[in-house]
Amino acid sequence: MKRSLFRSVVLACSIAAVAAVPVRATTFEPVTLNDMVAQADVIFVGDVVDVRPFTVQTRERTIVKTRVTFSVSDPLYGTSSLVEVFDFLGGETADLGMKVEGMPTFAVGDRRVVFARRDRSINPIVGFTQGLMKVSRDAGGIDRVLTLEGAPIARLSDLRSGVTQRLVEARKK
Amino acid sequence: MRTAAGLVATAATVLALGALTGAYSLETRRWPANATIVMHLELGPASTPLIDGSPDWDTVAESALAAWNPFLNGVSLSGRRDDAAIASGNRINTVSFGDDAFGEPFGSGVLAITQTFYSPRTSTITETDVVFNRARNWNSYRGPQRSAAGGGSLIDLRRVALHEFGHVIGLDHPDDHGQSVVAVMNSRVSSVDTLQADDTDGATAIYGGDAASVPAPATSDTLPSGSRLLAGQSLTSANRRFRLVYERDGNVVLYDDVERTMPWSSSTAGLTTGQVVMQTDGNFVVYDGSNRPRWMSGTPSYANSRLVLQGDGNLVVYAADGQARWDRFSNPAGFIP
Repeated sequence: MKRSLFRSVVLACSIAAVAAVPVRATTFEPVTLNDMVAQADVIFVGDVVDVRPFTVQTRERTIVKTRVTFSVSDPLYGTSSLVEVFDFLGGETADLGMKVEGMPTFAVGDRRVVFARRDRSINPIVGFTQGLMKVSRDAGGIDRVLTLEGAPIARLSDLRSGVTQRLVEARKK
Repeated sequence: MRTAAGLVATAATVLALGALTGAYSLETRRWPANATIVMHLELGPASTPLIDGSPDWDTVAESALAAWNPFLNGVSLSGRRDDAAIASGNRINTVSFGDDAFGEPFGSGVLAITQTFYSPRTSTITETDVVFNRARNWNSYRGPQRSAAGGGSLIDLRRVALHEFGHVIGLDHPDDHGQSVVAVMNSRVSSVDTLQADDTDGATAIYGGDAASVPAPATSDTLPSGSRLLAGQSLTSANRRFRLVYERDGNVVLYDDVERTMPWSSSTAGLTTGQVVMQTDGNFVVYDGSNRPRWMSGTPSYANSRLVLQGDGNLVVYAADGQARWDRFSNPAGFIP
């Protein structure tokens, strides 16, 4: 129990340290793990299996979006689906490139922890890029969670526990 | 014009040398050589007084645009206040407040976005639009981040604009690429509210040339387009009677060595020294050490102009067609940004 509490505190501090300062890119505000859990409609660990840019013709213009498909390996909240699909504003087709600065990018094979919202927006990730984390397996076979820039956050198992704990607390309220 | 591949190679080289020489991060996209990037400013009036004394939002944006110009080597950013159509994909660059990003909700926690259209074939940028989230608490101030009276952050539009305009010219976030440098272009906000060496080095790397390497014509009577004076450097009239000196107290002073008088100055004494630039857009500008414009001739529409210190003591901005567009005899005060 004490060990679990300690890990939870370490996890909270790790994420707070990563997100403690406002971030701008495209410019966005910092979020904590509590914020991410509270704001996300869906939380899962998954692998990117398809990245597909496409054009959208609106009345005034042509824009580019990128559809990213995840294979869900570990659903944590809000999904029981085997795949999750999200659209991001920006991308590159043969004829048109559209870059939204700071938008996360994806490649097939990326393994990510995803905190996302279902409602339509330029970017469904909570906190723009903060609700998207790398998962990397270390030499000892332990899955570790890192920021997109590669800063270590926690073990995946600890993050999972932290999310679950916050969900339980949220339900009690 | 460089090829996209060439630019990628340049970026890769720069990043590889980052640990030694700086660590800015470049996009592979850029504007065409010698382009004037007109940003249509449609931010409008502020509903509350701005802390730094700026009269309106567009003035704040103009200041941020001007800060980049000395480092773009032929390319220039120009602000134009008008009511051009605010849309994306119409080849009109706009800077505006919005409730969303051209009809797409901002999403979680977004303060502002910059979106860029480009040709994938040539990597040439064709349009950029900057949208600030109207729902946030904005002001304009220098120094550490402040809190808003009603809670939350009071966001300094100028430093965010500096950052977004860095994206407009093709800069990325150095800290997103594992680099540890002091820069406005870092993704994480700080008390850094002016362009830093790493930012300007990045701009120079994209557009070629090196402002620092442009020779200052210390014994010339002319400051050519794209040249600058650093503290302690000067121009001398052809008859050697007059000297224009960029003093180390930040003032630009004209001396008459015959009468032993000081007939003119930019009245910028007491500032940190930066540079005095004859910009490629035709504006002659005194920048302080934070790259903030402090005095200007107000002639930004005459590309390839030159500044001449004449034998009669007049200081004149001559446009490429030979017409005088500013001179100290008729307008000694110039313009205070």
